[in-house]
Amino acid sequence: MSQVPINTIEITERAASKVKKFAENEGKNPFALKVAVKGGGCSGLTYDLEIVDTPAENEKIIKQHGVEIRIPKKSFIFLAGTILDFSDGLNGKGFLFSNPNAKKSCGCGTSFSV
Amino acid sequence: MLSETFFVNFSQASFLFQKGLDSLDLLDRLSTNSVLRLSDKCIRTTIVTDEKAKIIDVLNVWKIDKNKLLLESNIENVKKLISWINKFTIEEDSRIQEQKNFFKVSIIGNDLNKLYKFIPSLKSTKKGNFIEVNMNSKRYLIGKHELFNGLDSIDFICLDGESSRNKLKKMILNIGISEKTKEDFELFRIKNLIPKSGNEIIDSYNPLDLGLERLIDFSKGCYVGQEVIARLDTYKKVQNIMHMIKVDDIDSNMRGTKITSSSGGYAIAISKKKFV
Repeated sequence: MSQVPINTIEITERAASKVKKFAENEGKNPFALKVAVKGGGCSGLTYDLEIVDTPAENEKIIKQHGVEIRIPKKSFIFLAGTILDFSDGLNGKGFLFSNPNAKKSCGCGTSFSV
Repeated sequence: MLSETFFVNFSQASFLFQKGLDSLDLLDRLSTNSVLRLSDKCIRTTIVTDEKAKIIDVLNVWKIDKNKLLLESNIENVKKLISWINKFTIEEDSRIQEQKNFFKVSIIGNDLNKLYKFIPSLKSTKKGNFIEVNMNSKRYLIGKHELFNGLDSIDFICLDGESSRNKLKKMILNIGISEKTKEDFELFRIKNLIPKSGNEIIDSYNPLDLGLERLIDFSKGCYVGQEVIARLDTYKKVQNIMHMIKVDDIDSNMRGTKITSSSGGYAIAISKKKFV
């Protein structure tokens, strides 16, 4: 997978398509994908994805593959350079984060430490 | 069942208010016990651990309402606890405020009829719940809870000033419950294997080393340190055991044993299991 400049994050086409389906299921249009980081999870920090319809203050906004991504600025510190992908199928793991800031990740891949 | 009923003055207790709508959610993500669905006016003990499952602190969480928790820590660990919670507060609506003017006294034992006559509403209060009471124009939280080893206790936390401590002690003495001195309680604590902050509750040990399984919810999901605790438990890899020994039996050649507390001829030791 290619490297992403550290002033942005990237969403793959596959992940963007899945986000659009989730938004449709939730009946949100227009919508945005909020990508944030929360304290917790096995390794200390955990990813938090949410389909939102109202903008908030202090968010970095990125548009890719027809999806608007909103990242709270405090979370962006931990997410800069991340690629968001989606793993489908019976053995798929759902949304996958490839985060260059993560020094360690937990077994299930949803939490990390920096 | 205890043969005596007494009260003890917890002068080492330290208190924090955690305010904000995300307080419980954050605490649930940072500690071993399930606190997320804790009801108002309930108390639960939980253990905040680091990524390696070493103990940051064991604390009692008093849920006042959805926007306000009282965290009961200890002066040995409170600074580290505040720093740890703040480290993981990123976007959350959660603020920590240290409360210097609170104090705690606990009644331990089963002979509580005189206390119930004095505070009737306490009789119907269930274990794990607390009530708010005004006595002598001072506000108290009075909870039916337990010590870290599971022994029942009735905890009084005064929210209105350290100066009321002697008045509360006098009131409890007047209803016929005597005070255990600091030294006597230390011996009681050792004999009953109750771990203490600064002695056993330190970052050299994980909760399983101290036999605190009852304060871990193994089905609650992720929190910091969860993966390590689950692995230690599943594969029976807990290295240490906390036990009580007589001081006379302490041998300088005891391998892998650390004496963490001692009083009145008894001691708490934490030993490597392979040497026990």
